Amino acid sequence: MHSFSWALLVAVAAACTRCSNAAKLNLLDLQTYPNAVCMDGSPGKLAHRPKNYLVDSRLCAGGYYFQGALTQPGSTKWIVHLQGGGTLHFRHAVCPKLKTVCFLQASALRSLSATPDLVAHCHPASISQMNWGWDSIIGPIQPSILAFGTGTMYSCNVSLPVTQAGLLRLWFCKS
Amino acid sequence: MALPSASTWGYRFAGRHILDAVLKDLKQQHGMANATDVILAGDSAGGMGVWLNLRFVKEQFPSTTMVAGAPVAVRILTRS
Repeated sequence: MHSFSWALLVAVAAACTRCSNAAKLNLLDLQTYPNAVCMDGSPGKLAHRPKNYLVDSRLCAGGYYFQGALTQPGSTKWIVHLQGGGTLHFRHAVCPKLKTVCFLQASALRSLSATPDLVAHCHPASISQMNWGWDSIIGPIQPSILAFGTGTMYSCNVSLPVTQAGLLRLWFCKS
Repeated sequence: MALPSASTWGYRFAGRHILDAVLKDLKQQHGMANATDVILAGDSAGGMGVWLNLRFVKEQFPSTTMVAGAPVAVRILTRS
């Protein structure tokens, strides 16, 4: 990883330890957002990390972690963080991983003091937490902050892929 | 909308719908419609998501809203 990236992560981790208000999970209503679902078309499911990812009965269209600004000046300034988690673009690599259940990593115990490593593993189409402090990037302004996940790697809105050299398939957006 | 089909190996590659839903919910529930500054950040595959979605995010806010991207350690599509 680039040295700048390491420095940034260290700064973020240090900022997180100073935060006192916990990020809260917001679940999206499946009827309102029927398209915000997993890559296989199934709705999101909650999995609690302390219970070894046991899936509970709640279904949703995904979700995100949100932490409001700690101070008023930061209330109109936002950081939207798309968490990494790997990407797969060949069939033999895609299928085994995507056969696993789509889940959200949810824990009421999680707070901004948690390290990003706690949410490092997530399904490509699920949503999970990453906590960054605005002040760690910009200055002494506290953040309006939220975090969610990696499905944005696959961001097309067209129905068919483009095949390159008969091997690599790419999905594009029409905008 | 991209639907799962045989040509897509039974999966859909349409994460933008998730981003769209989250932004809508944030505007309704948390006042993001009043944002003056928005940084779209992401690491690894999420950093690639920044590249792919920054214009879309910019279009969701008034022209007076500053929208910037901050991809970190971006995972680039390569052939191997």
